[in-house]
Amino acid sequence: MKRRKFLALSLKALGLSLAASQLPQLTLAQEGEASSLATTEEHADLMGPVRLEDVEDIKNLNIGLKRVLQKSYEDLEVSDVIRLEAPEYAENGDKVAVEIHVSLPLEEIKAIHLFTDRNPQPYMHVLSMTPEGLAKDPRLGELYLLTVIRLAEAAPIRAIVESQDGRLLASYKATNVGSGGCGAPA
Amino acid sequence: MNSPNILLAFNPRKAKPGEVIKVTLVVRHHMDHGLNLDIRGGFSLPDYIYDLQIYLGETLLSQFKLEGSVSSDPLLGFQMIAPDAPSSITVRYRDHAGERGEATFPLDVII
Repeated sequence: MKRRKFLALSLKALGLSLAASQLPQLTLAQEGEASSLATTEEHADLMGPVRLEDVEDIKNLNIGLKRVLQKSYEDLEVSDVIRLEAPEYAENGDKVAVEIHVSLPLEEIKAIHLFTDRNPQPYMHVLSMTPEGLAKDPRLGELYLLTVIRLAEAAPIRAIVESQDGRLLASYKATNVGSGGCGAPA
Repeated sequence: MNSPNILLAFNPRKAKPGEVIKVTLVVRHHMDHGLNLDIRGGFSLPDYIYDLQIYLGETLLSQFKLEGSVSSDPLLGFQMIAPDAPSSITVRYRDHAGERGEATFPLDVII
């Protein structure tokens, strides 16, 4: 009788220990499944467009605006006279094509500036163009500028037109990037 | 003397006086922003084109102030009005290493 009890207890213990040894594996497998799902979702997010408000860095932008224009983000006026074309997603942040069209009387334009929020300092400022002789020819209806820029990470691209009367008209576009185009992180 | 690293294209190649011409310009330059680590683990000195001027004949058409956020081999496109007589476009640039480049391209017009 004692022997039978001992055998029954031993079998129960063996069963419990086997079940216990399987538990961590099951948990790990479930976690693995979940993490692979999360990775797929994150991957989809990484490849898609980004919302402007999610990638803005006004503090960094203000450093650039202050250095170049002695102004801040609050001084910018969003305007539909500027049409900014940039990709929603760029595979290579080292080469992001940007087109700016400005339908404003050219003699009113002092300069066009291009900024981006998340490039390392001091490269939030990308370039400035002064139309000079172009603006003196009234036959040229629209000012057009094409360039290729670097983005360290997903960021807003901001085209800013400085008018002769001191206003800063602006247009924004958020661009996501696959791999950053600057050597050091922002 | 023309710098061989400056390339320029007009579209259309020949325009009537007063017609809009799209000008696309490429300067072959590494545009080093100075944020890459060098062999000793320090940052390299920035060396990029910071000033670029475009002239129609002797008249300054446009001036560009560039930063290290402009891609290597910077590409710039703009539009202009074809002049009344054949002329030329001159591009001049300066970079941080003290290099200056200049190239002149004839601009034909259909008269």
